[in-house]
Amino acid sequence: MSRLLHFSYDILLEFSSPVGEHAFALRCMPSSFPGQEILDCTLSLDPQVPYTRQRDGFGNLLQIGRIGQFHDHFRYTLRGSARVDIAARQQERAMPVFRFPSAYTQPWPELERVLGQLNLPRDPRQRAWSLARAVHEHMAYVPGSTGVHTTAEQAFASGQGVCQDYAHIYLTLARQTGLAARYVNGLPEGEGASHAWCEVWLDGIWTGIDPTRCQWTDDGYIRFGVGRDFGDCPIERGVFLGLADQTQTVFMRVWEQ
Amino acid sequence: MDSVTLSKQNRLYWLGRYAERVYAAVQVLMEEYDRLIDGEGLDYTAFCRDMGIPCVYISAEDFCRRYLFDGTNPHSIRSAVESMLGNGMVLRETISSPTLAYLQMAHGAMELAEHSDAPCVPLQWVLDDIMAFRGSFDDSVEEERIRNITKTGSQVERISLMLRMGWHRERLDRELQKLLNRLYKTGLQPNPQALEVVTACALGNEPVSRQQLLESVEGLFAV
Amino acid sequence: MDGLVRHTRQINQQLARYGVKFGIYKNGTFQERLFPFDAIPRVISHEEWQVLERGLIQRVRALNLFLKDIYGEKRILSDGVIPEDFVYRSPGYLPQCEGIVPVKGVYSHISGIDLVKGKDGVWYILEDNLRIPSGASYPLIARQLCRRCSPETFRQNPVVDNRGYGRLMRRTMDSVNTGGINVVFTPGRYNAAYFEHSYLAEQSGAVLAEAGDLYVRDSTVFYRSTQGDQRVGAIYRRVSDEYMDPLTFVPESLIGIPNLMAAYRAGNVGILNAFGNGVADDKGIYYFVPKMISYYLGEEAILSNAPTYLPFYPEDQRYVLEHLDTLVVKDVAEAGGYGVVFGSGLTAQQRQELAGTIAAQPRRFIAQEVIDFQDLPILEDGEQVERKADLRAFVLSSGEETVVWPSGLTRFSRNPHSFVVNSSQGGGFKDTWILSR
Repeated sequence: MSRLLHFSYDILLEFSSPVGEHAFALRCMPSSFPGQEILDCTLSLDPQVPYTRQRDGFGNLLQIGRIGQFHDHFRYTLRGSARVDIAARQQERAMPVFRFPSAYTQPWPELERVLGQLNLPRDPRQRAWSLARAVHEHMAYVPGSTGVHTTAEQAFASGQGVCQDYAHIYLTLARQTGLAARYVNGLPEGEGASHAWCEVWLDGIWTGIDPTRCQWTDDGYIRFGVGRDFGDCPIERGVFLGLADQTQTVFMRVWEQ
Repeated sequence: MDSVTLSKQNRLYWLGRYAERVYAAVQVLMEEYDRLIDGEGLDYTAFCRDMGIPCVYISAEDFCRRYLFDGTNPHSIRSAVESMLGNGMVLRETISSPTLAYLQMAHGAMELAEHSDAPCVPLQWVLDDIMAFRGSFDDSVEEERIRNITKTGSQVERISLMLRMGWHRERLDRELQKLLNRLYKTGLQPNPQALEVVTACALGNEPVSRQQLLESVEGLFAV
Repeated sequence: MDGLVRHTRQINQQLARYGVKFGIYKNGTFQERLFPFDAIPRVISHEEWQVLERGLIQRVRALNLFLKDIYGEKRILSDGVIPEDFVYRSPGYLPQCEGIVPVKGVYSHISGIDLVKGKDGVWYILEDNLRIPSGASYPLIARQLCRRCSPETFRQNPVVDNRGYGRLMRRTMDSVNTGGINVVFTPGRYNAAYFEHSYLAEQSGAVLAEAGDLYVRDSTVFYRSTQGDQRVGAIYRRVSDEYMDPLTFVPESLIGIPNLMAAYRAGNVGILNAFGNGVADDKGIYYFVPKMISYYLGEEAILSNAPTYLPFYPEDQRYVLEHLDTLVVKDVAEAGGYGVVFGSGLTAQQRQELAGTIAAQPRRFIAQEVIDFQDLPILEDGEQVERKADLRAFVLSSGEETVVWPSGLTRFSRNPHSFVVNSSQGGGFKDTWILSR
């Protein structure tokens, strides 16, 4: 069984006053791998500037460029379609670094006690699932309660957060219990904003798990990038010259025809 | 090296301005020290007014010391020496270490002067070192355009000081001519309105007030 | 040498004339100080140097092979020579560099290897600096000035000329230059080593640049000149990895070059030293360097490490816990923590606490025997006194060859009771003579 999904992703960055020398690095184009076949995908940029494609150290597709002229907005629009079939995922090697803590996923002193209370199953798959349920139960989904710099420890302590925080906490717990796990961002079926979830390496297969929705991922998820945590694979990063306030409008849609 | 960035261009220009400022001001102050021997000091209040700097001095003697050596006052010669050396330091590979050493020496001589009971001897060294700097600069910097940026800075400073201190019209005209001739060999982009005023004045076409000319000379380069 | 001592005053005047300074931040303001110079050189005999030279080349070759392996196949880990924890928990390991092979496969182009000579006459490696080791400019300019002040001394002693460092640096940069100008990249005027940055740029004929002078277009680095953009082929950067590209590392960095990583990844610019080298000069990895030498080169290490124990290994842990009173313990985790602790300076209770921490987090620490340094004579108020000193040797690796600069930075502590030779702690420096016969 597989599903043919169409996706669109629109980001509009607006600047309160014109900015220049704008260098950007995007990770907003999904790549093909067993289980996710990108049938077509186009990225358009406004202002229209050329961009270079590269792969980063985690294998993610990068779109790199620069807008030299002054501009008051930057819009990037993605259109495409993908065939998703998680049953077709294949065994692959995991970068060992996914077993170790990263900047956002440093363990904290009480973590061992928390893990002890969970009474985790020994079987890795069951353990991966129990952890997702534990994170989901501990956390309340409260948009705006955390920011891009919030660490797993901080989000766990506050008990509130968004998908990024759920994922970071999950990764911290999973790695601490010996699982190789990584951060994923991309688009889930439906409409709204982009999403973040995790993948756990089970029997040599990177298996998606979504702690925010407390479910294993299915054929409705399109993956953009992976990394140790959010910091490794942001969908958009940019620096520019100018003292402008920036507002961002995001709209994405994933649908089946 | 055959090219510089805008930021280096800026530093080259200010290196010239500060070197000239130090050179001219030290000369004035050496004369002033001599005059003080006979008890008649310069009208430092008028001096400060002409220079457009706050008059924070209580006597001619106090003026001499602090205008020269008070590093905490941004208008002092000491501060100008720091800025001269600071601009030189970030240009080492353009102007060469031997050239930069003369600025370092002028800086050292200034420190000696501060602690000397006969400050005019080390002050003379400051002048010597700046002259040596100019010679070494001319010799080490191969590209004419780069040399001209610093020289333009000196020229602008000299004219600005002349206008403030009210020196001869004749010499002023000569300096204005020199500035205009050099300007085109720098690649600097002068402010068009300011350039118009300066040019008109140099050609003697129309009368320009001293204040207007001063503002135009100071505003030639928005660097 | 008496000549030099007699001319100490002139030498110091010359050093002041050339502004041989380093900057420090004191009470929040930036100040520049002259780097105290002691006229009595450290002298290394011809025979001794030959051994050091071979040993240093061997060590840096192995370290470069290690870096290539870690960011590539990782054979040394899969073969079990180094436990992977020591790599993946190191803050110097940057997965962003995975799969990138720098120009000609060189990672550490300019390495600063710190050594001390023990009272037993044996040289020990203290640490490797493979990121942005500083200090070569000081003995370089000092030699020139010493020769000026006391020519007789150099006529009488067979001292190898060290003044070719600029050329050596130039050759190293040229060898990884992808077409374009050579640049020395500095964080700016208010950096402790700004003198060095500008002096080395001049000596190697490179352009000194700061953030804003360089930018990346089409995965290529350009120098913005008033005469138009110039392509940059190699960058000797004196800014730490994490600040070099705000789009790859610390996003808030204002002293980097946005998307530099893209140009580097595309092989369009040589970066000296490569990103991610911190994984190889980590305190924990230090223990394994002799093993690397035999693993990659099939040779015995010529130069010794200070005797080091890894509590990670049970046998070592037992030894460390039993001998805590004589060992020096170093925290591998760079940020915070214990730093460097001499067991002899602890109370019994503190020692017990440390033992507990080591047993609980064994891979966080290394322990070393305290080396009894050979002291060097320095002049203090006209008197000759003995002080602790180390040596930083500079090893330059191009794609073609690895060479040791026949000199080095000898730093000494001015405090008679201190082992710390750091310039920011008031230490001074000496010229380092290598004898040609």
